[in-house]
Amino acid sequence: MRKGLTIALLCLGFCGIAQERLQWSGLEQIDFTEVYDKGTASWLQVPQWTLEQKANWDGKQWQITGYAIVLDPVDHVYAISAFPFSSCFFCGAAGPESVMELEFKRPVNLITDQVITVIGTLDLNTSPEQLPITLVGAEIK
Amino acid sequence: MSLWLLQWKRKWATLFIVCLLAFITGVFIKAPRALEHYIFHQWEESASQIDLIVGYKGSPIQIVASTLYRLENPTGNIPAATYEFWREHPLVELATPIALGDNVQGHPLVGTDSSYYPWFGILLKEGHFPSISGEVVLDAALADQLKVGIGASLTSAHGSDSRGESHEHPLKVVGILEAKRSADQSALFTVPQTYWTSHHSVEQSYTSVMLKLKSKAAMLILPNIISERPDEQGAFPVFIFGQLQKQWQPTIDQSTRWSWIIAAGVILLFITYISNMYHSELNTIAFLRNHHGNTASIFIQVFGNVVVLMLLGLFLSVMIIQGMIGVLPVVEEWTAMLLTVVLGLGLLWIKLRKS
Amino acid sequence: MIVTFEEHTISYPSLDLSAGIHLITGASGTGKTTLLRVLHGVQQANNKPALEGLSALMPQHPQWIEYATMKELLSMKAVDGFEEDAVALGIEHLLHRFPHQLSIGQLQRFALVLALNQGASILLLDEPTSALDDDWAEKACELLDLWLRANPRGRIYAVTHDQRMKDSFNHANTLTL
Repeated sequence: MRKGLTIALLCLGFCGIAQERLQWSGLEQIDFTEVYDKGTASWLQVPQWTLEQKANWDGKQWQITGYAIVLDPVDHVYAISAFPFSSCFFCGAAGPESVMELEFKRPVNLITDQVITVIGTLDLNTSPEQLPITLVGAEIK
Repeated sequence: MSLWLLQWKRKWATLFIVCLLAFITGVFIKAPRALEHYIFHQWEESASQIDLIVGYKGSPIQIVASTLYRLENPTGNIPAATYEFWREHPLVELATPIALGDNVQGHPLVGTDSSYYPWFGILLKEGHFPSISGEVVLDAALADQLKVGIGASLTSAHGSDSRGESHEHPLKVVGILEAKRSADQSALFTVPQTYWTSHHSVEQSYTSVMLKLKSKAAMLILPNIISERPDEQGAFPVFIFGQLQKQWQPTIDQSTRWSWIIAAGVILLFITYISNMYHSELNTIAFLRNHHGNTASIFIQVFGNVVVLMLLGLFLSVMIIQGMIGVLPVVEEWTAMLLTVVLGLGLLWIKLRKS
Repeated sequence: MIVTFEEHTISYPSLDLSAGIHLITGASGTGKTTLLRVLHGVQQANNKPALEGLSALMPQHPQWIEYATMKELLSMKAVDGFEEDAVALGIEHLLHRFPHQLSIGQLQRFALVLALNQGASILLLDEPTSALDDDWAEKACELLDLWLRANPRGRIYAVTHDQRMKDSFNHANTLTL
């Protein structure tokens, strides 16, 4: 399933509309550094953005397809994942770069594992409290 | 007596028909929503209130069911150090410890700290919240059921039902609550120390820790951290809810489609009923026409009260449905019913103009 | 005068617009009732003659509001004082009845009372005495005569085959279709 989606997305990438369509595979290159938290004696991951990544992504409009994850059904908070929930990164081997936060322009109703294509502006985060990327002003295509 | 008044005598039954049909339509449109509401709402609300529950290694569903709903036995105990770790964690905003395992006459005894009450909107009606070992508080309705008031003594038993072995340490009621969730309405609350005293345990422990995180996205960051910690299991109510919803949603969508088909049938019946009123007024219309009546004045004299009765009927039925099902009126329902009335009266008008 | 409506064309002799009573006769199907309906304005037609003044129509088979009593019906459309004519036509004791509780003759007398008491200056009567016995027919003609006296500029166009009425108004203009 995971392979299938990746292949499907890669294929779509070669179809000439690659310009604005973001590939999950492209996000695998994100580097993380670990930050030590004294209070709990534990490590947290912080993404390190390259100049190229910032130039290509930060504040730019992109379109991406993936599976919805419901984070708050009452306040309509969602994330988009490269993989369905049962094999998402924290259950499998993938990293946090396989999930993106979504900030929708208007509230939407989604259910977990619903396949969605969203368009929005990429916001690259540098805080350990957030996922590496947030898609702001997002709209379902 | 004017014709307008005569029409009130004649068409009062319309009010009942309109109420009945609008009611049936409304119920059919709303039934799936009500179903969804009942199945999910409590879950949904609790799930969105608690981001993460950390318990002893075991089934996440069991952790959620025991901590939030007291429907299951806990998976085991976690040391106080675990609670401290999560309370201090940079991604955690609020951590509330939960100790479970005992009951009072079959009702679960929840050992927790004062942060639990505001989290679930529990208000104090009388007395004070428990502050030392042995003090308990409970919802007013449960207090009535157990016939206890402030100052009354109770005894807890080990296990999740009342057949367990009784503890020697009695409990004392110090406060009466007003709880919102049904799980909180049927439980008694105390401080965790009560558990440590009655179980004569040297080590301080809990059964789980409820966490509110600094951001919803942290729910996707923490699993990796939990998986590296021994003997801990993270349970995300919203993810369990998401899986449940995935199972239920197609069924609800299906029943929504069916209910719209049925509602459409009722709406057609309704339109037919309204437009057929024309035939029972043929003589009246002819009489008014022969006396210089124009279409607008005839419409108002003969069917004017129908407009009023219909709007009244729609309003009443929506109020009744809301009272019964307790879901806020939805836009689709109002639209469907108003459209029905407008269509029915429009047909009446067209028939009248053609006569 | 040629009147066209829908797909029909009826050619009428020109209408006498002078005051007084005009009797309209002719074989059935020649458009007598249609003429009254056109004059009253309930039948759309081209080239309709211009009648000035408010008209009252008494159809051959009047339609009533079946759930109103005769008193309620008359109160809705008639001017005050209609009771007098009801007394003259012997139906004042029937005012509290509903239309379906009355005979055709009684209803015809009510229709005449209604036509006479609408404050109209033109009465369009379609066979106004067809269901009346001799006494009531005579009484009806008397009331029409009284109305003409009270309304010197009023006009009555009455479709009739009733010899009793023709005799009562033997001086009247007659339009034969």
